[in-house]
Amino acid sequence: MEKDSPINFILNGKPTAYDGSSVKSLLDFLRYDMNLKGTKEGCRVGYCGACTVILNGKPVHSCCVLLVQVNNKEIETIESTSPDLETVREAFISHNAPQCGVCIPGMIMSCLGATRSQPSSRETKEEHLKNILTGNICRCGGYSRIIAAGLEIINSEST
Amino acid sequence: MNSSKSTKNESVLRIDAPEKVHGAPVYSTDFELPGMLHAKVLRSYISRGKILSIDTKAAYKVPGVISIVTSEDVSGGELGFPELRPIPGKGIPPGSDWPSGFRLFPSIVNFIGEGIAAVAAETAEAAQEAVDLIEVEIEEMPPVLTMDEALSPDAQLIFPHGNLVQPEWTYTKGNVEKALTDAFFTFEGIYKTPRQAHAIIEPLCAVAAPTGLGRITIWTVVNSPHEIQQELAILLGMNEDKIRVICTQGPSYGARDNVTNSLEAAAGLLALKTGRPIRIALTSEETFQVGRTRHESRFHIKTGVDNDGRIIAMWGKVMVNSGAYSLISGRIIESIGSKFLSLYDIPNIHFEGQAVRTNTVPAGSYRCVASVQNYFAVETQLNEIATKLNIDPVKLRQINHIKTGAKLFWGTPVDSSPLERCISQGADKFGWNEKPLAIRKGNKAIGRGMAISTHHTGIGNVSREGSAVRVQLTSDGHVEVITAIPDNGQGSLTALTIMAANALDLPLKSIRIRMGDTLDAPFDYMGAGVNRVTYITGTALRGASAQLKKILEVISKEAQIPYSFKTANNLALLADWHNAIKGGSLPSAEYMFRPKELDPLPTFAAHFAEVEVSLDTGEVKVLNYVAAQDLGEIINPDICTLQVEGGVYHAIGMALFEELHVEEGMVTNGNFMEYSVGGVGEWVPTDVILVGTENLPPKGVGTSVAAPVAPAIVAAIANATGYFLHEVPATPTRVLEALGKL
Amino acid sequence: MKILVPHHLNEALEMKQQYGDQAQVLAGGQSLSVLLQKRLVSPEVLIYLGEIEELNTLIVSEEQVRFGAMVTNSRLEYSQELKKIAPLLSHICSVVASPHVRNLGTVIGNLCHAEVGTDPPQALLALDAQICASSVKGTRWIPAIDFITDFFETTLEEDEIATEIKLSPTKCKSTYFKHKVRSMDLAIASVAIAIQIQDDKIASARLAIGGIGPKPIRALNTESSLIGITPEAAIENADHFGSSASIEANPSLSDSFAPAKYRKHLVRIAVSKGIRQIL
Repeated sequence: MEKDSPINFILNGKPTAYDGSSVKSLLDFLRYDMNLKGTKEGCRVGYCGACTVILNGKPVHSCCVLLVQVNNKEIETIESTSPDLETVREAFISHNAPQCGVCIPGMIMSCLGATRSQPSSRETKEEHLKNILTGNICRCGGYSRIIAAGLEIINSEST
Repeated sequence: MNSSKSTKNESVLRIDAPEKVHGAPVYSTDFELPGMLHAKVLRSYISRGKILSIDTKAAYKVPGVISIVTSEDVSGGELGFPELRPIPGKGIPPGSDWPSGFRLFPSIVNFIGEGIAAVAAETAEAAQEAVDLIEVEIEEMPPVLTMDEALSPDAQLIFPHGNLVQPEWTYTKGNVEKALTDAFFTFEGIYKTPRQAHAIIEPLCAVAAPTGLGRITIWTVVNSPHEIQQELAILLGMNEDKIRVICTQGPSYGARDNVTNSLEAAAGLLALKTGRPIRIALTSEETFQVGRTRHESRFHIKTGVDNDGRIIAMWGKVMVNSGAYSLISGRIIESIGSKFLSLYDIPNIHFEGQAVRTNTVPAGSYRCVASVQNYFAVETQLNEIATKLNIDPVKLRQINHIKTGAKLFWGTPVDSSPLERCISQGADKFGWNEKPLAIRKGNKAIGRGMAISTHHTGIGNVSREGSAVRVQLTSDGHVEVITAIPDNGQGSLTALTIMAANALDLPLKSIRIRMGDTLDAPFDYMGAGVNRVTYITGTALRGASAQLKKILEVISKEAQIPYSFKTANNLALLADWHNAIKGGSLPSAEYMFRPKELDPLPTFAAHFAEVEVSLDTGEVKVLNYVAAQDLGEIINPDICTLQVEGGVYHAIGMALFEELHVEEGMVTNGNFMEYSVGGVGEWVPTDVILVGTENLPPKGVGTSVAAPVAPAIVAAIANATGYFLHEVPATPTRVLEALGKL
Repeated sequence: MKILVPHHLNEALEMKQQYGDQAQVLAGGQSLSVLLQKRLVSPEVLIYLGEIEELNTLIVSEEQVRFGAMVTNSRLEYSQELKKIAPLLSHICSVVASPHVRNLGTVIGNLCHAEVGTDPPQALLALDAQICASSVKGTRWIPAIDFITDFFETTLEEDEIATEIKLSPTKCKSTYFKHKVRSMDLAIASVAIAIQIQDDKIASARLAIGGIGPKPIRALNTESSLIGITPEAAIENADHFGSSASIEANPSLSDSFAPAKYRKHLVRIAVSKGIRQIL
């Protein structure tokens, strides 16, 4: 049976249907079909994390997701207007985290992902955040502020 | 110009942070224009060869292909930079940064990745399909792949005048041979630093658009839009005034100092030929293959000391691998030399340096260029001498470093007190005297080491160095700063805004800044790099601001509208009054600053590292790191701290993990999976000490941090293991080999 | 290139039968999407398994652990039952790449990609897992040790899809060493050790080694030499077992991460350290 129906998913809270080629990456779909440039392109091999988005509550590398994989799922990008994303943004600003800024949307989404997902039984909340951040690289070396912003967010959450 | 009354201004949050946390579409890969075509480049797969023919018939048949450009479109590959810089009667001046032989689509390719043709099509996929169908006949020529090969007597000559970048550079003072013979103790070693890739996360991308009457505009990340404008003019055989360069956001770390092979120029050429906007987006792998690297270096040093630990002689010979085109290689040798000849007070000293051409990926600017290569070698040798003679490494530096009253190599009088403070404050914070240099705990050993350095502010030894800034009152009551300088992530936007606000006695919110556009930005020699923004551009900004302030004070009296920090909102009224009553352009001022000295403002550093070495696996972990940086006036302390942290992180990469492997001319680990750019797991928290000095200008910090890092870490590893590595990165394999375990 | 989206396993198997090696199977996409983007593969069709419910099952009990082709590393990492029943597998799934990759990447997908330096194969070799290869003709179970045959190659036939993994949990002492350059990198040498003790003697030993050559291996001779001795004797001779395993493993891979001789050294250290640690 060939693909004969559009892909349906929720994008930043909005139900969305897509009828075109689902072989393309989620990254290319977001940036070139939906014109959402906030998710950045980087290594395209699943290492730098500049393309991080949240899929069903978990951070993923959108360069390594083919569009067919998001059918019936929920995607959140840096363009989302959810209040807890705004809190992460404010933490990044107040800690002076962005330098060149290319990694920042991905870092923000990874930090948001750390609040959205639970630590495994092997991790503290802080280790959970730092483990998630291993999926992102900052070439400017701004890690101290990115981690500080992330820690502020996860420690201010009410459990 | 007046510096600020106090050493340290207050920290300010980055003004561009809000747009960056929203992922604003301000990067080169975000930029799009209606009707834009996509282009891909056909690149050489061999290291050296003569192009005999290019057949594009099959490529043109791919649906969607609009245009293909080859050497025919650039006068048979004869446009571009000739090998020797044609200054009548002068030959090549010292310190030339002439990119010898650099052309768009040359008839002889000189490295794997050199551009041969470019295809513009409606989609990137069609362009790539067409590129794959272009048939090229290349007559292979024997490549020169290593520095030694290049200098052997029967070497193939890459360019007719030889495989050395002109000129070789050499300097001697005193009688080095005799002093080495007479010395109480002599030491000799050869030290190597690797090719390091900038590894910018966003792959390189340029968009070019034709804007009528033979003009083009280019959007891409640059360090200096004027530099790119000049290079494109030569590469495309156009007048500079037909080329506008606009800087997009994104980092450089030196990579964007010059045009990249077959990127901006190819986009410009296609834009003119097709009459449509053109986007060339390199892949990440392409960026590693053609995007230039740090110069690999090999430095042979001999040092003689007397029995008090005074250095009485030093002999040094360095070779750097400039790759196929020497974009800054003449200057880098001079720069290494001036560092070698400046930091220590040595009565008998000799330096010679060669930048060597090879048929490999070109080397170029890279954060802390020249100082990294020099100080890895010199500081490691001094640390070895300290160990051999059982002298405290800190003491060895304190005895020998240049002191106040002496002169740097290019003649600048030195104030060494910032260096002294860096050393003492750094040692204090690190607890240098509180723990032994080596501690052994079973299979783990902890070692501590240090190193010092100096770096330049501004290019140094270039009479063209200078920057001009214009400030302008706007109709809506702001002062706009217009500068060619971009913000490559180092915080220049915020720093210049602070400096303007202070100089005009206005709040930050009254200042706007327009950056990185050649259209109306006044002259700037080298852009945002080499520590020069806060000093050279900043001084010009202060000059212009002072002039504008005077003008505004006069108008304020005339208009009877107060002008002050508290009444900043009145600026709009002042502008209105001027438009209504005086007429003509709103007040503005432009000021050019050109430093008098060739090496205007050295910036010192002292770093201290503590590492833990696993003696069974050779793995090295940095436990503590203290970086003391000499800053002069500190414009934005928080951003300075971040720049030091970032500079240390970047340099620890070269010290421990990063090496771009080039085998038989081919980059073999050119991607983010195989090239080891450190992530959160590799990052080391750094204790930063910002050493400010009253009555000095701001010295800049973006690029001066890296130099002491590798030698400090290698010294710490040496104290832990008993062995000094002479080559970085200090991979576990190298550590175990030194220990005799592999 | 087309994407085919079967909703039942038999549909998927028919598609694979029809297209053979012109069809690539898409599960979590963490490996395949990279190959596609870099144009290293260009199949005619992709068969996406993500809409097939039965491939998402995970069974964990004292008697068996079974999971389908769509079960992610992350799901195994977070399973409390798996952590109790098969801690080695649980741990190894938790150190794959980064959480981003684990959230989508599947264990079976990882195994079928057969890239040197990934983690799950060592767990499967150390725990005597078996992989179910299904086709329209039926199913067969392949022991993990036979599954990967070379760089990026497995023993799957053109018309087969790997659909399930099963293993019988045992009470064993186990550990996993992963040496890598950066925390999110592939291993340059990884060693999974699982040892069962009965009546104060070593009853079985598994030394699964990866990252060092074309395929993950077990040091079978070294394993045999451990059988029947006491844990104390094993500890005393740990260095010898380390040497023996490193010689058997015979690392051949030298690349920009590390030369083969360093990989060999790491295997020796890991095996001797591991034996001391767990016994």
